[in-house]
Amino acid sequence: MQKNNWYILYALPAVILVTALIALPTIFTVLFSFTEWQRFNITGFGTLRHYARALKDLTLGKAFVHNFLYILFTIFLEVGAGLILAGLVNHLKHSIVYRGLFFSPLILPSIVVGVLWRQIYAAEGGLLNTIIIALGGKAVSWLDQPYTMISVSIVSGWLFAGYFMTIFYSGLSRISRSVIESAIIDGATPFQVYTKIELPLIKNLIMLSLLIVTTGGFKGFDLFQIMLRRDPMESGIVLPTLLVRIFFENQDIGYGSAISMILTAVVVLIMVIISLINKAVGEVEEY
Amino acid sequence: MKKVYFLTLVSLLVFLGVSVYGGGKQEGKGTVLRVASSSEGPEHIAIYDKMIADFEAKHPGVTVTWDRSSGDDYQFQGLPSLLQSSTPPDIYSEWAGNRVKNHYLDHEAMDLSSLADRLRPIIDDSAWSGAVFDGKTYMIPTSQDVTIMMWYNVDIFNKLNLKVPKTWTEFLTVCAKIKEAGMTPILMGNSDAWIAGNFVGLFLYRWAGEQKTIDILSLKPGTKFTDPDFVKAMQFAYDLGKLGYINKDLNTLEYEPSFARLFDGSAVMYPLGTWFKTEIIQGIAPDPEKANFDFFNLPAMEGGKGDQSSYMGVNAGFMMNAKTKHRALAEEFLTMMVAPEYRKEFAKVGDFPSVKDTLDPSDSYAMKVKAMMNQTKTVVAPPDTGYNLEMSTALYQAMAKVLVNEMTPEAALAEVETKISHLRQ
Repeated sequence: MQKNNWYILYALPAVILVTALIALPTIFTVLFSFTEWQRFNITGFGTLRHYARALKDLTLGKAFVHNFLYILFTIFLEVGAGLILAGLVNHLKHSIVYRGLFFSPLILPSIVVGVLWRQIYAAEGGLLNTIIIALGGKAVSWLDQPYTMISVSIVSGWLFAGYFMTIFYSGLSRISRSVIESAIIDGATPFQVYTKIELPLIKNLIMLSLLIVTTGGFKGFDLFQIMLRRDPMESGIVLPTLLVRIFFENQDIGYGSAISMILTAVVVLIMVIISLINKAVGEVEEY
Repeated sequence: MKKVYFLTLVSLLVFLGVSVYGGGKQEGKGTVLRVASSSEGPEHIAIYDKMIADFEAKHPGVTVTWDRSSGDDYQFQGLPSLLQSSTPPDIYSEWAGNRVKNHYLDHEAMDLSSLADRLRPIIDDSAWSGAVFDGKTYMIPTSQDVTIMMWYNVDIFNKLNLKVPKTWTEFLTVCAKIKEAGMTPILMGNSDAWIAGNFVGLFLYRWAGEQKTIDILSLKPGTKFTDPDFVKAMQFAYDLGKLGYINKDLNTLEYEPSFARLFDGSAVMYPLGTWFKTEIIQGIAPDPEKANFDFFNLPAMEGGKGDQSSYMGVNAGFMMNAKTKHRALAEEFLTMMVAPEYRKEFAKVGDFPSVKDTLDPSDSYAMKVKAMMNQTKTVVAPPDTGYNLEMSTALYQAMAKVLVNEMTPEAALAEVETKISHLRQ
C-alpha cells in the first residue's frame, strides 16, 4: 500500500498544472463576477449588478446573435464542406494532392488570411467587386451589414473545411472496401454509397466535428478582429471581441468576468445538448 | 576511483555555479531603459534613434529599447499588456486627459511634478492641460496636435474653381460641386471609429456649445445624450451621409488604405490632424512632391452655440511608470525628449512641439497651423481622449451609424444613453 502512494507523485505535475491553469482562474473569474471594481481596485463583494447589466446589454445580445449565426454558417461551410470534400477526394486518384491543396489554407497565419480576404472583400477595388462589376453587377460592401457575418464565415469555411475534410477522410478511408463493393454490386449509385453507407459509418466523427465547430465558434476572434478592426457599426461583433473590449479597453473586470461566466454556461449547455443528441441517436461501432 | 567521481562532481557543480552566476551577471551588466509608444513615421523614428544614440553615449552600459505599435493597438491592447508584463516600460507615450488620469488612478503613473517644475520655463503653458491631476503632474508634454482639420486637394479645388468655405452653407455648396464632378467630397477610413468620432465630435462642440458638450460627455448628472442640441449637431452628419457627400463604405474602410482614393483624385477632402502632412503625404502618397494638399478649419456652423473658430486638439507626451527602477535615468531621458535641439528636428518633420520657439518661422505650413491655433482660445478635446472611453466608444458607434444613415440622430443618441446607463449609476 505504501508503495502505491508513490504513484500520487506521478500525477502531481498534472494536478498542479490543472489547478494553476484551469481551476484557479475559473474560481477567480467566478469571484470577480460578483465583485465591485473601481478599475483595478476591489471596492466590494457580493454584487449581482454585473449579471443584471448583462440582461439589458444591447451589444451583448448582438454578440450572442452573431456568434450563433457564425456557428450556424460554419457548420455548413466547415463541416458540410469538409464532408463533401472528403467524399470527393476519397474517390479521386492522387487524393493526397487534393488533400494537401484543401488543407493548405490552414497553414497560413490568421493575420495573413484576414488581410488577404479584406482585400478580396474591399468595397472599392476589391477582387470580388471587380469581378462582379466586370460581369455587369453592382459593387457590394461585403464587410458591412447585412453581409458581415456570412462574409467572415466564408473565410472561416475556406480556412477550416480542409481540416474537417482530413478528419472525415481518415474515417472514410477506414471503411472496408468489401462493404462499398457489395453495395455497388447491389446497384447502389456512388451518391447512394456516400449518403447511405459512408456517412452513417462516420457519424461519430461528424458529431465530434459538430462539437468542435460549435464550441470553437464561441472562441472565434482573430478573423473578426483583423477583418473588421474596431467594427464601428457592430455588424460583426462577437463575444470574444466584445470581451477584449470590456477587459482591455474598458478595463471592467467585474462585467467581463460575468460575461465570461455566462458564456461558459452557454457553451457547457450546448455541449450537454450535443452529447444528449449523440446518445439518443446512438453511437456507431468502430469498424 | 571514488575520489575521481567526487572531484568530477565538485568540478561540475563549480562549473554550473559559475555559469549560473556568470549568466546572472551578464543580465545585470547593463541597465535597460524601456520606452513604449504608438508608432510614428520613419522621420520621427530617425530623430528618436539619434536621441537614443546620444543618450547611450552619455551613459555607457545603458541601453534604451523602444517598443512601438500602431495607434489603436497601442492604446487598447499594446500598452495595457506591456504595463502588466514582466518587462514593463519605464517611459510610455500618452495623450493628455482621461487616459493620463486613468494611469494615475491605476497607480501606473509617476508623479513628475518636480521634473515638470524644472521644465516649465521651456514648455508652452497650454501644453500642460490634461497632464495635471490633483495638483500633480503626470505627463511631460512633447507635442500639441490638432486632430481634425479639413485637408483638401488644391489642384481639384482650383480645377473646379472652388474656394475654401468659411461657413457650413458654403461647405455644403463645395461638397455639392465636387459630387457633381463625379468625385467623393469627403473621404474617411473609419474602420477604427475615431476619425468620424473626432470629426462629428467637433460638430457637437460647435453646435451645442463647449460647456454643454463637456457636461454631457462627462456624464454630468441631469444631462442626456438625447439633448436637442446634440440631436441637431448629429443631424449635420446625417445630412452629409444622405446627400452622398461621404464615402458610403467609411465604416469598413481601413485608415491607411483609404488614402489611395485621395491620392488618385477620386476623393477630395479628408478630415484629419496635423500629422497628415508628414505621416500621410510623406509616408503614403505615391509621389509626395506632387501631392498638393492644404487644409482649413471646420467651417462655422451658422447658429451654433459654440466658438465657431474652435479646433479639436490634444496634447501628447510621455509618462513615467510608477514602478520604474530607473527613475533618475528616465527623468534624464524625458528631459532630453523636450530639449529644444531635438524638438526643432521634430518640428521640421511636421510636429507642433510643446517646447517654445521650436517652430521654424520660414515654414509656411507650420505658421499656418500656428495661426489657426492662435485664432481661437477654444481648444476642445476628442471624446476618446478627454472622457470616459466606454462612453466614447458608444458615441463613436452612434456617429458611424448616423453618417451612413443606418440610424436617425435621435435613435442613435438614445442607443448611446442605453449603452452607458450603467456608467451613470
